[in-house]
Amino acid sequence: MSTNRRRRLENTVPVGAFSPWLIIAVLALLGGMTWVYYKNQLVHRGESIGKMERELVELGRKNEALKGRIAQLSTYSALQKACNDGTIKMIKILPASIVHVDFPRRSGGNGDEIRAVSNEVTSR
Amino acid sequence: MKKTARVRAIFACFGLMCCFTVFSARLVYLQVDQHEKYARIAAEKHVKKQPIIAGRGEIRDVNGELLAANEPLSTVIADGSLIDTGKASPDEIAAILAGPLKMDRAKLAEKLDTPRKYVVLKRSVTESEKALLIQGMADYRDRTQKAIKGIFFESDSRRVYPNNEVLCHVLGFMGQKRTDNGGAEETERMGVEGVERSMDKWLRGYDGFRYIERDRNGEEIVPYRGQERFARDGYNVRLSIDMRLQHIVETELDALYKQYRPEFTTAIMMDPKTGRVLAMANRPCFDPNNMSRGSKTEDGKPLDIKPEQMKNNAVISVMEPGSMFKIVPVSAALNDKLVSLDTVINCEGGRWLYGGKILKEHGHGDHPNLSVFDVVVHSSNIGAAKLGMKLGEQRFYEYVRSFGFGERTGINLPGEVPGIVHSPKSSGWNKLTLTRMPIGQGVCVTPIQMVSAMSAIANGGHLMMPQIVDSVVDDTGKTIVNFPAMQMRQVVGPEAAAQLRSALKDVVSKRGTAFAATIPGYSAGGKTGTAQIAKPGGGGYYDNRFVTSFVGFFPADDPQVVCLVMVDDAKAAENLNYGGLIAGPAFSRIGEQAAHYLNIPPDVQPAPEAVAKVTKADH
Repeated sequence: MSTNRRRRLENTVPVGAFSPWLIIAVLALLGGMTWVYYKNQLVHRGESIGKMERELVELGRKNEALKGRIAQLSTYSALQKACNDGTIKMIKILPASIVHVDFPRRSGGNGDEIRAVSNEVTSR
Repeated sequence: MKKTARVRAIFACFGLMCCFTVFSARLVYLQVDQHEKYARIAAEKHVKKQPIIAGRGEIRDVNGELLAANEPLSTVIADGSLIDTGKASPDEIAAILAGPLKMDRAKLAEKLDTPRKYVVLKRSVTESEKALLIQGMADYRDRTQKAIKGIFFESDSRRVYPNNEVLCHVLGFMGQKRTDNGGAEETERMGVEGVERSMDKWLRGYDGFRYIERDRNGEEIVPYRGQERFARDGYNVRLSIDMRLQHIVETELDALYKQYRPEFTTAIMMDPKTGRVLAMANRPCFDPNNMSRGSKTEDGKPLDIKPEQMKNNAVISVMEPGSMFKIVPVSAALNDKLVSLDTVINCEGGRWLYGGKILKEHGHGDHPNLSVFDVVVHSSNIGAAKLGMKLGEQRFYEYVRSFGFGERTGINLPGEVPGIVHSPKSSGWNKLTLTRMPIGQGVCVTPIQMVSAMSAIANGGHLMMPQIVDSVVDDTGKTIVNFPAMQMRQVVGPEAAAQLRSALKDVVSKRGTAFAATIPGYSAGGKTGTAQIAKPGGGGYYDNRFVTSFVGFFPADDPQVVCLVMVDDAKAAENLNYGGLIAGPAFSRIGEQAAHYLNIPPDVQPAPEAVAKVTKADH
């Protein structure tokens, strides 16, 4: 067999026969790449979720700490102490500053009808 | 040649096939036969069961004021193996941490310079300290471009009571129980006293867990989370206590405790119609915030909290009630129609020899004859004893038990005791008992029993179960369990109760023994009690040591509040050591403030001199 003939025979590539496999390989590659891409996305999203969860827990803890602190500062004894220290001050509400809401009395009733009343202080 | 190539190809294929077969067989062996073993090894390396700690429920008062909450804390942990890989040296890290952690820098550097993976640097670090620490580490990174590795925070929490000593005996405190879980020591937090203990199963919640997978840096890979069970936080408990009323009561108890230096003093305020406890306090007391192990005073000394400071005397202490107990024989005799308020009792001129012993009236009580009404008003011992005799042993005993003495009231607080009531068939009952028990001797009761009994008189004869827990609610405010008012039984009829109330009203008058208990602007009724303290071991009574008390209600015609004040062994002059003079004024001050707070309309015309004073001041 001459050298030229051998080279011609060896270089013959059966493209027709390979093409389905080639397409399958490309598709598999694309599928694999997509899978990796989505997997990567999943991990990144997971990291974001984890970070947000941690932030949420931190916020919850801060909220809890502040709630306790507010309760401590607004107890009767704490307010009394603050009042004594002069940190806060009691201001007398003058009678002139109080708005009395009077409901109009119904006319023509015999006195037995139901009507809105204020918490009147009565003496017996 | 062709044949040789074909043979070679066959051999190559066969070789490859054998090779793949071997690999496949190995793969099947590892994946199927040895699956569990390798899965376990892999899981041990990367998968961890992460506990999710449930938060303990809060305790609030009837108006929603926070009484017990959780303060988030952190434990600062160092991983020596990671510190080595970082660019910052242990000395540099110690310099950053020492300030916020308030620790010695050299000691901290020593702790950090270790190959160990888990070193606790400091426990119970508050959120503000933690924030300072994180800020310090971030500043260092920005300044030097060196990241600090190997410092972690573990979540923890502590129970806090914003009101400190106020309501301490009702709230109780938390403790720790150490259990050995397969070689690993586990710490469980639990309520030790008060509502923290009695409502522990509602407050504690359930811890959860999740299986997490970690990467090489120890960080969780969130998408690979495994089985997960969410934690359920504890429910919140709402008490029937009103903190405004509680402060009124505690302020008065403080004053009593300071003035008379008693062994202890107790006060209970109750709504007689529902049995709800509005306030409950004792002195001495303690700060439940200091009950955690190793608590120290401000100057660094270890706290010395005595057992008597932690006793909720309102439910766990028994004492002879003295004359307060006379409401039992009088109401019983009235209910059985053995007497009316006008029936005259021969009070023997103040000295009555019965069973070989003389029963005397206290103080100046030398009345020859008294009506039943006046027996109550003047607190006659002989009159009450004779009413007991009219009832007879068995009937009197039945009434005592019916009023709830000798059994636990069922209040939702731990450690309640039933008191001591001897039955006529027991060896503790002798021929004198029927004359001594009606005057409050030879019987031991708890303050909560006494308040419940007086509430029964105030509400028309219904013995209500004392309630201190109003409801259990979840985070959204939805009620999980409600504790409604519960009537135990009808003790006496409404008529007998009303008759006794009218007599008790006169006790709080110039004629009675408790004029000092008068509430300005309001009608009130009640009964004083002055009982000698029994010597330990049954050696009789001390001559100059008394339990002085007053239990009363207001307004007298439609009682809305029942209040008991009890002072054990007040250090007062003997002529002043009476329930009406020590506990009575405290009742008066508590009642006046409580009536204003509860917006109860005054039902008594103020005295003319008081009106004149106010009118003069106005001008």
